[in-house]
Amino acid sequence: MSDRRSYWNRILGEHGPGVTAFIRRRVRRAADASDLTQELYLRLLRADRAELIRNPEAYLYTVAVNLVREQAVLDRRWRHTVDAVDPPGDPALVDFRTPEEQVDLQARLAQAAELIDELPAKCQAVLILQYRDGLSYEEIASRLGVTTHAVKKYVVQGLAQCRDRLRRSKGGAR
Amino acid sequence: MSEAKRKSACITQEAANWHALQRQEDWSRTQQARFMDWLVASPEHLREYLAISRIAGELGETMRGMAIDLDALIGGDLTRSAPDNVVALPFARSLARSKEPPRHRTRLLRIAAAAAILLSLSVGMYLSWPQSGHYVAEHGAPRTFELPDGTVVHLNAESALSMRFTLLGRRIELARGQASFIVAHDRRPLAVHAAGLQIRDIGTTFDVSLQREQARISVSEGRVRIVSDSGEGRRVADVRAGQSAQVDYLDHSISVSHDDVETMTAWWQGRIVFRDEPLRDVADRFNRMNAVRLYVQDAAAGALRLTGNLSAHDLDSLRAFLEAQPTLETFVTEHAIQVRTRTVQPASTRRQ
Repeated sequence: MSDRRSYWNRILGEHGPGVTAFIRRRVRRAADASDLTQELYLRLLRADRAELIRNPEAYLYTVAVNLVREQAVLDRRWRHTVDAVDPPGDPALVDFRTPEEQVDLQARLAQAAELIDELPAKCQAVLILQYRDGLSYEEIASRLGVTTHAVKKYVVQGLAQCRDRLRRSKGGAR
Repeated sequence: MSEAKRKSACITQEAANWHALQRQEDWSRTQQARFMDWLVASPEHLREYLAISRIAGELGETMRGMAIDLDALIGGDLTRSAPDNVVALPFARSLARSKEPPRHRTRLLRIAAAAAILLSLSVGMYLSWPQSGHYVAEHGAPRTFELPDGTVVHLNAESALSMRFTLLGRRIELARGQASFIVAHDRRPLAVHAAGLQIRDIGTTFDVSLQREQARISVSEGRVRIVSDSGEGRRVADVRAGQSAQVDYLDHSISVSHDDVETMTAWWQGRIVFRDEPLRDVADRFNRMNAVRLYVQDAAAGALRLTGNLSAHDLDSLRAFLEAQPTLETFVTEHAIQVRTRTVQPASTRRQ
């Protein structure tokens, strides 16, 4: 029922692996990571503004995903997986998770579960309805009996709190 | 220290706010523009926005796998919708390529042997008479052949070249398309003329591709010198192994980038490998090879720079690849794949 999914869920569902690969990668290898963000930043600056504004976030992810792929092609460690017979569609990304990244991801998901647990109940409910069930702000608002404005505030609060916790648990590292 | 902390907390708040706004239904052009301004105002902003996206992604991924009692959280009666997030990957059906029958091969060998004998008989003439030839590769039919001096040419589909070898030099002209040259050693210099440029070389392997707005010269072995073909023969650039030079047709402005040798020669094996190349050039490369054409419908999509590694004949994978780009959408018409910039569809229009 793809038409029931919100735009964000669609982006995450279809492009999630690429986007999170990008972000994971910058986390894993600190030196390359800052280069990658820097390069992404420069490309955004160079990009045609009219095109950017049409759909900034999708554009951002498109540039990011392609940047990761470029990196994968350049990176000797990945050359075998990239040049060998590829899996369908997107070689660099399908083969992207090494065992250590897989473990890393598991740890992150476990951590995410803890973070969710620490959030206020209303906040949790809003995030679940949005990210798991793909409801729009309006639908969540009517479900919970609050305004859409409040729904948005819960989302912001939830995300910012999780981010702060993560930052604190790593002693300022991102 | 606490000042820095307060500042980063503030950026976090802003990033989360923009992230949430992106998920709102009415999201105007002006707001998009303001979001872009914020995003590129500082690398810190971009970094923080990505961090928030990551957290949102991980929260989503975690929650989809969790049995959470929503009723207990909000104390209401809820009909839970089953998570529907298992998406089957489309499997590539690579076209089975017909193998060349061995009979054909032995005949080719015989022809080659005959050619070799003829060649050795005619060495004397070879040195004194100019040789010339014209070679064309049709749509979907790239070819590989050897020139009289032993230089091997990979000529891509929809490409044409002519050669003229004299006592003093080897001159090749690429009229259109793309060709790679594994240059045989010879005392006579070899030069490839294309788009007002001359690529000079002595014993190396390089590729010349005439793209829409530029010529691309990639060197996988040795070194070439590119000079302007007009008048004084101004030197444009020297390109070494592992480098690619892109020369603008209009002003001969040049940019040199590093490239994998495997990437440069991948098309010999029927693969299309592109790194940070505009979609319209990628489409041209596919269209040389296939009866089904890829049409790029708008300029924004055509200018989008992409990176990938695909089989030239595997249209299913091509389509899956394009669909995986967040800003693109595709649909199939008769004998064609159309690709265009994805129109933004706010959540409200997507629901039943």
